[in-house]
Formats: sequence, structure tokens, C-alpha cells
Amino acid sequence: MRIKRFFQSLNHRHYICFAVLVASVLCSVFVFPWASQRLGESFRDFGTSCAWYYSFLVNKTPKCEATVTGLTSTPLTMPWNLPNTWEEFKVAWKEYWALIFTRDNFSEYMSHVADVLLVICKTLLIVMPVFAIGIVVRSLNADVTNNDYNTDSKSLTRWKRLCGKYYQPFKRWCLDSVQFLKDNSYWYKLCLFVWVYNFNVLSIVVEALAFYLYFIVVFSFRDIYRQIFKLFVDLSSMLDFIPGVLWVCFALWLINRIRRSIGYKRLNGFENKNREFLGDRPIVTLWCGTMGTGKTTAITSAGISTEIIFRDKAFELLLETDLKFPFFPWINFENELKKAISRHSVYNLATCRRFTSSKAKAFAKRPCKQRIFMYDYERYGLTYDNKLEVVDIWKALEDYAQLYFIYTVESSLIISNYSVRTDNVKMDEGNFPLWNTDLFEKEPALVQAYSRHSHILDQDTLRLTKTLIADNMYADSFEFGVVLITEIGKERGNMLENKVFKKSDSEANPVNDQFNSTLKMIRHLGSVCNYCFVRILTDEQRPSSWGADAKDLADVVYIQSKSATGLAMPFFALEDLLLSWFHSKFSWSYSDYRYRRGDNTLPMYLYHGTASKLHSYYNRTYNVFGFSRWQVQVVNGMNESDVKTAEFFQMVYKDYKDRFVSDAFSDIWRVRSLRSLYGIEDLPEYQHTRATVDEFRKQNSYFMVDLLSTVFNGTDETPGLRP
Amino acid sequence: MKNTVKNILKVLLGLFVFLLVDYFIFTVGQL
Repeated sequence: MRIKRFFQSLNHRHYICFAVLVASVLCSVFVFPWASQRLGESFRDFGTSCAWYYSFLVNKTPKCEATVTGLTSTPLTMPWNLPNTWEEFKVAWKEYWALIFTRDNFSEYMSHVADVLLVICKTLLIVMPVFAIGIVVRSLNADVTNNDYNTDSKSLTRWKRLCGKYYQPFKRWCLDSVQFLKDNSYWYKLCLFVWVYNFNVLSIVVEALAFYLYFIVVFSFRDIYRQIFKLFVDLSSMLDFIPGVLWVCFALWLINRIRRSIGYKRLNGFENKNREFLGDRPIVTLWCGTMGTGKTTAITSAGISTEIIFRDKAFELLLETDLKFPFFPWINFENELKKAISRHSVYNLATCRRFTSSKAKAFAKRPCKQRIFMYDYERYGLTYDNKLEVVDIWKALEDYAQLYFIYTVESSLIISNYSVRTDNVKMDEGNFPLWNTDLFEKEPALVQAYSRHSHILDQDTLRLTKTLIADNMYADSFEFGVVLITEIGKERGNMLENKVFKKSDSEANPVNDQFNSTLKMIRHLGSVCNYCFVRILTDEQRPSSWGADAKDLADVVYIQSKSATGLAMPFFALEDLLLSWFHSKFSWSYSDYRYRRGDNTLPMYLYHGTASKLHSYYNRTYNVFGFSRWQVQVVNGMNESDVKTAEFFQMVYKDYKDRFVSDAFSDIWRVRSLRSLYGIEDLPEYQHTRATVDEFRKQNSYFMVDLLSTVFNGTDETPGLRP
Repeated sequence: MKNTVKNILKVLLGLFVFLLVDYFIFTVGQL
């Protein structure tokens, strides 16, 4: 009774999987009867090869014959009639090259191509009437105009009912089955194993191992041909069994995999070139270009790359410090530091130094293993000589603590005056954490879960003397990180704009806050192991908008030109052509349909759905693999004759994946616009192409005020104008 | 337009390479 209830409660998919498994096993017996014999032969070959290998190692003559070079005794045959032996192959090779350039062979091939073309033409002729019916239906409905808003036609209602009854449940069942197979992976693993056996894949693997051992002994390249021959013989059962359509599907899937992998490799290559470019820049960089050239995109992209560079550099320096004292129990030190960080007694680089110095003092007072993280200092020593200096272990620990702190900071290292999203994933199993800083292939679920936003830049943290807020609690907090400041000129101004400010003013202003001194001294603030973990990336339309004193510190990068968006993924030209053609056709007929009709019909429903799917495929491909090549000119802020040209790559997926918004300050303008009671429809229009004096008055322009008051000599003709 | 011409050229090149490879494979069967 209990067993019956158990079977009744089982998901019906278990029975389907069981049936598939039984069918697969039956195939092993009836369709692939030679698979077991081939497997036996391959193990025999492996055994004899092992014997040969052992004899070779102990320098003895093998007592048995190596069978790996022998042919199978099963009736499996070579596909395409390839020659059996290397000698026969050499003869066939000569014949092949003699045949390939003959007229008869070429004519034969052309007739073969013609046969294929004939099949294609016949298929087109069969399909053509369907299109013809579509064209006739469209032309019959060409003049239909209605305002039946969102009313479904009869055929569409019927179609939706059919889909609801059959397609939707089937789709749901398929998705549930996929989830079922994921939850009960043993079913497909078992089936996979049976088919691997059926297709002789197990035999191929064992034969390869057998030949490897045999090859070490005989070192005969001639025998490799026999193995290739045997490989094709083993594969013949799979080649014969799987239908051509499936092979075509497999080929398309494989091409897609290969081209995507090439695309990702190219994108990573571009990113590495960007990092090389950023590595050559000084601490402060000013990106310039006219409106809409992508200055903010550039500093955001550079900021994201620089954050990764900092993490990588910290890791590299951690490893270097580790190698100075290879037998130091670093994990104990890290655990102590982690506890201090969680207690918030360590929260910046200065407190890292304080942490190690207090430990050093305690050790100096009473040296013992317990006070140096269980390090066996008597055995391994407390110093390291790098031929430049003798490094004390406590100095190494001080560096290690600071680097570890920079490396393990969970929030973003970016501090900016607009919001930037980062999605580096910290992987931690409780030992040494690792960062997944991949920009292109991370799983979307990980991106969602690990997204962080940049810190709000409190400009007081960069002011050395006076701050805008007296006793600002964050004023001294800045030590290291990537600072992004968009529209720096509007914040700092240049000499002309700052003339109104004085050094003696009691309140902070761009002249007396010593911001520039901070930039000049910043290397002293955020350097560990002689590497500065600070970068300041700014943008402005013209370099002269920022004061010369600050600009002299920076490299000015001018964005000169941008290429059209290309695709890093190859072999997309045919899809690109077809999808663009289809989209142009659709957009024309759809806009016409929307103009004339308010109802929904079945043909447009299907057309619209197909166009949406294809367009989204096209868009997604460009969103993932799209890139643009920027030509930039780098000018040294101190010496404007020092000009270099370089390339910078903008990658759509990296830079626009919800990273930032190009209208970062839009919320301020939104509030301003909400204050207004008027919109564009309420603004007065010109009555003719020649404006009247009244219309000029409405412009409230300085020029018009001057002109009209001059012409009318300040009389009543110009009432209501500003003096 | 520039991209379209480029794509057409790429497709033609792809077709040529495909036919060439197919010709080589076809000749194997003729031996």
C-alpha cells in the first residue's frame, strides 16, 4: 500500500525519464551491439600498452605484443573510405591533389552545387504562395481605417484561445521539465553515460591513453595515422546514427559558442589596452571634449578599470610581501586584522599602521611566538634583505595590513560627485578572499547581488585648510580611492571666475581651501609600498575652465573622434543584414498600420511579435559585444608641446550596463521644471517668417534690449524691457 | 549604408570560403 502511494506521489517526469533511460539501454543492445566489444578491445590495448610502458621503465623487453596499433575486429567501417594505412594514405594524398585541379572534378562539383540550388529553388517555390497570400490580404486591407481601440479581430481571439489551451501549457511543461532535470540531474547524467558508451566515446578515451603510453616507448609518428583512422572508425556509429539536421543544429550551436568566445576575448583585449593607457597617466587626469562626446562615459569607464587595477595591484604587492617571509602564518595575522576591522578599530590606512605598531610594541616588550601570530621567528628570522634595505618583519606586516585593507574593502573604491555602479564580486570561503573582477561574462544573478554604488564625494575631504562645513566629520576621511569629478570647472572655476574670492575670506572658497595643495600632496596620503592608490579623474568641456595651477598637475585627454559602434563578435554579418532589412520593412508597415487602425489583427500580432523577438536579439548582441574605438590626444598639462595620440575603447556592456546616467544632474532640473506652470505648447509662436518688434521684445534678450532702446531712443515704444 | 556594404562583402567572402572548403571535402569523396 505504501509502495503504491509512493509511486502515485512520484512526479510523472520520473516515468518519462525512466522510459528514456530504458530506451537508451535497449539501443545499446540492439542498435550499438559492438560498443561493448570495442570497449573490451580498448581495455585490452590499454593493458598491453601499460605492459610496454613498464618494460620500458625497467629497461626490459616487453613480453606481450602491443595491440593498440591493431584494427578492430568489429564490423565498424571507416567513413568516407579513407585509406587504412599510412602508405595507402600517402598514395591517396597524391591522387587527391592530382584530382582537385581537374576540369572534370570541378564540373562534377558544380553539378552538385546546382542540385543543392535546385532543392533551394523548389523550397522557395513551395513557400512563395504563402507570401503571395499575405501580400494579397495586406493589399485587400490596405484601405481599412478604424478607431476600434484595442479590439481583437475574430481570428486573433481564436488564435489567443488556441495558444492559451495548447501552447502556453506546453511551454510551461517544458520549462518545468528543464527545472526537474536540474533538480534530478542523475537522470540526464545516467542517459549521458549510456550514450557516451553507445557512441564509443569511452573506448576513444581509453584508446587515447593506451596510445599515449605506447608512443612514449616507440616514439613513432607513423603510428599516429592509425590512431586517427581508428578514431574515425569509432566515431562512425555516432556519425551514422545522428541525423543530418541535428548535425547542422550542432554546427550552428558550435559556431555560436566559438564566435561568442572570440567576442569576449576581444573585449577583454580592449579592456587590457585601456588599462595600459590608464597606467601611463599621472594621478590627475582631465578629460575634455565638446558636449555629448562621452567625457563622463570616459571617466566612468576609466574609474571602473582603475578600481580593478588597484585591487590587482594590492594583490600583487600582498604576494610580494608574503614571499619575503614565506613561513609566516599570514592567515593568523589576517584573522586578527579582520577582527579589528569588524570592531571598527581598524578603518583606514593610518589605523592599520597603528594596529601593527601596537603589536610590535607588545612583542618588543616580551618576545614570544604568541605575540607574533605564532610565527617561528627563532627558526626563520625577523628580517629580509632585498639588497636595497634590510626589511624588518614589522614593517612588512605594516605594509601587508594596509594592502590587505585596500584589497578587502567590500564597498566600491570609487568616490564621485555622481552615482556609479560597480559589480565586482568578493569570493570568500573564510580564508583569503579573491575578487571576481570580470566585466563581461559574470552571471546576471551575481551582478544583481553584488552591485554597489560609489561613495558620495564630500568635497570637504579634498580641502586642506578651510571646509564648507565647520567641523565636518568626514573632512579628514579621504586616504585612497578613485575620485571621479564631472564638470570640475564648474566646481573649481578658473582664475577669472575666482577673482571675486579672496584668500582672507572667512568662509571656504576655491581660492582659500587649498584644494590644489591636496592634489599636489596626495601621493603622500595614499601610497603603500611606493605605489599610490589614488587617482583623480575629472572632465570638463575646455581645460581652461579649470584653474591653470590645478591643470598643470594633470594630463589633459582630448576626445578627438569616435568610430561607429562595431561588434567584437565575428560572423554576425549575415544576421546583421537580414535583421536590419526585416526591421526596416516592419517599421514601415507597422507605422502605417498604427496610423490607420486602432484594432488588433492576427497577421500584425504575429508580425509584431516576430519583429520584437528579432529586434531584441539584435539589440542584445550589440549591447553585449558592441564597442567603439576612440582617438584621443594626450597633452601634458605642464608642457603643452608634449602631445601624444592614443586609442581608448568604449565597450557598451562595460560602460552602459546601468553604470551611470549621462544626465546625472537631471533631478535638479526636474524640480525646476515642476516649479513652472508652462510647457512648450504654452510658449508664444512667431506669426510670420519675419518677426515683429513685439515678438522681438518677448525674447528678453540683452542684444534686443540694447538695439530697441537705441532705435527707439528710450521712448515709450519699448515698455517693460529691462534697463 | 557603409556598414551594409561591408556586411554584404563579409557574407560574400564567407560564402566563398564555405564553397572552397566544401569543394575540398567533395573531392575526398571523388577519390
